[in-house]
Amino acid sequence: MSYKSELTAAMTALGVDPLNRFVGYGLARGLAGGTIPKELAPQITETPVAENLMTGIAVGQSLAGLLPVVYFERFDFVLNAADCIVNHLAAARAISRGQYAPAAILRCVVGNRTKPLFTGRTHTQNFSAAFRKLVDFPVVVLLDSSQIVSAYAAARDHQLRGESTMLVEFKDLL
Amino acid sequence: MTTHTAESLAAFEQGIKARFADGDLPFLVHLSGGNENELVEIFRDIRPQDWVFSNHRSHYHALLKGLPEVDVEAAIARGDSMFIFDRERRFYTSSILAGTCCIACGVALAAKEAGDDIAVYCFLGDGAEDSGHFYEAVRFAAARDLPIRFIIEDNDRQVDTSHDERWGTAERWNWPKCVLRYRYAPTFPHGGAGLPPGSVQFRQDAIERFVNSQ
Repeated sequence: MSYKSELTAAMTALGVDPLNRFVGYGLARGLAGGTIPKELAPQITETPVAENLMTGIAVGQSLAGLLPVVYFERFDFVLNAADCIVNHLAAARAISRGQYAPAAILRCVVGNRTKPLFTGRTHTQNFSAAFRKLVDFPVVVLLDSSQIVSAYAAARDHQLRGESTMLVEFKDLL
Repeated sequence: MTTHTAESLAAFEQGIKARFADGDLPFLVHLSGGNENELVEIFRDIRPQDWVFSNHRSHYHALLKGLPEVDVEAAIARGDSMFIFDRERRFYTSSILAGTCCIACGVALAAKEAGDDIAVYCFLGDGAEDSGHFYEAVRFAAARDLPIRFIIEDNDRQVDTSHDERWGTAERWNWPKCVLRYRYAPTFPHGGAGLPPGSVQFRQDAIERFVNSQ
């Protein structure tokens, strides 16, 4: 199975739960690089290109009982959402003394480095190591297609327990 | 839904001030004051099923949402003045500037999509109004006609700096209808209880109580 088909299988599995939501910009047209099946389009929350807003919406959806999956087409852009990820998503359980535990699955894509289309430094950075120091939830780097379905299944299990997961994908592997 | 009056709110905060002055609260506190009448009026419309997102200055919001005084005071006494939460009463706070605005949008969006009779109220200061996070949230909420109200509690102060000083004009921005603004003169400074510098000696037992609770 290819990297892309495994991602599609993982999204298909997440979409079985009607509470699932795919959050991000360009999803209604691009379906996250074609990894969200068209049949799951009703689960898409289309947003403007505003990463902090996207993530905040996901946190709010989680507070309301939904299961959001946020798609960042480049890991570089996640920095715009760092405030919401670090100061809210990762911190809410502690600062609320367990009363609130919003949880999201964060899909972060590292741009091409070894094959076209090349997009330059600010579209190919991998901040996995940095985020491991910033948050207390798992940051999972998906280097092998065989780990994708199980990694997203584990992320959903964590989410149902009120824990987030950041998963790092690579366009070079698509 | 609230039984609080302007007088009872002010009395509560004066009690916190007294404990602070006594050295019993060795924490950063942001006391409310000067906006009692406005808040009592706003909270007349807020129902138990509605969400309230508050900020660093949360004491009045918490009391008016129905949190018992004893619980709010206990939270303050353990150093959680900026971290008062109540899941059952749908009360959420953040002391990160404008941090709740986009989160509140997510709750409102979920309520609208589900067809629930729920409204969301997000309180912020005029300092947070300056933030891009607020701008993103307001545009999204207005465009989607979400069941949300952002309330700017405008005390003309971003910590200690006036609107005119930080923007070069006292003129306020015109936001969409989902944004309400009221202006007031605050009773207390941004942080602390407005006591003379060096006049508060924090008690050792209070310091140990906090350190041992961490």
